[in-house]
Amino acid sequence: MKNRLREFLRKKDGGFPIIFVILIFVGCMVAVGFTDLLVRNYTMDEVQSKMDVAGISSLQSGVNTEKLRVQEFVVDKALVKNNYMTMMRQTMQNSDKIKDYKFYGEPKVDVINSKFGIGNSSQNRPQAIIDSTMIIVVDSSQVFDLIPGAYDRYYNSKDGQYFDVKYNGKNEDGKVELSVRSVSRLVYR
Amino acid sequence: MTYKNHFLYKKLKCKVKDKKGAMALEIVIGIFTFIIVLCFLVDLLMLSWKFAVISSTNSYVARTAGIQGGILATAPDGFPGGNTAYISTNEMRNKLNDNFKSAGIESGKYSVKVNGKTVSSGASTGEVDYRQPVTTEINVTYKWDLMSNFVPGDLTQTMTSTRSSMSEFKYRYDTWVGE
Repeated sequence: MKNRLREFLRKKDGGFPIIFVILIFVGCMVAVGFTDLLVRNYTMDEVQSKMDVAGISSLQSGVNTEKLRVQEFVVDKALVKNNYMTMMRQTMQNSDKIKDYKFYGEPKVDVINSKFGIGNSSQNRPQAIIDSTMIIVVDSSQVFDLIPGAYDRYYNSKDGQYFDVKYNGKNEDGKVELSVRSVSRLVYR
Repeated sequence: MTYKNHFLYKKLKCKVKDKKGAMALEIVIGIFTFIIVLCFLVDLLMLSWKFAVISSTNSYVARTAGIQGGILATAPDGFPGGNTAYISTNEMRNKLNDNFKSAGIESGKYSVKVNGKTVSSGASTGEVDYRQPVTTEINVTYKWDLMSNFVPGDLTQTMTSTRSSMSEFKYRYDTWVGE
């Protein structure tokens, strides 16, 4: 028995097909892994761009133009939020890569008169800011869906503080949960 | 005489058992697999660049169409800055061509629509009045250029990118009663 096993191990017949199969397997894994990476990155970029465009557009739609004529900066926050969410819902429906999405809390709209983020300005400037985060679910391969996401940490430059976006990710279900944050700002100079 | 005694059978058996050149064969197949994987990665890199260009171009189209209230052949009356500041369909078409050309996307391989109407030279996508929705859509047909040399069949795929925004321009401002 021992001799037969030794003989089997020493035998080099079939060694070549094994290498070939391993090469094909590694090649397939590399292909699947990198395709997943491409889809994830592209979907995140795409969603963030949608949020940026909808954000700035909704801020502009909320500015009271009549008041602006008498140099008063008045922004209808409720209208901004409503327009933003309507635009996002409309544009997210058209995406075939995204299986599900939800807003992480309501978008936060701030209206400030400050020097924040406008360089070496000596004067305060009226600004409107919309800050929102979304959780999206993207199709992925089960093989590389190994780590269940739990939270992502973001930095709020206005408050100077970090905050966590928490979600319940599941692994090996072929769906990857990703958080996307966007901040858009309108400044009147 | 059985086939086992035939000289051709003996010759073939000898060839099959002969291990000369096996190493070369392994190397050739190994290199071939490596080339396929390399081509796949290069294609992937090219596609990620194309996708990034499509994404940023669509954001630009959406913002422009939002600010201008659509894209017309000439600037509408009362547009701040007139024709100089306005991006007409002709100019937009040229910009799109330049952008997509830099990403290796030929002019016949994409279509850009604003509220369902195609952006084409000299035409108009229609007027979209203040606070009315503007939806832009870019469809691009792309191909796995290098992988299509190894994989049989049609490797052509289509990707769609959409953006939603709102018109920021008020047409016929002189007759506007206000908000």
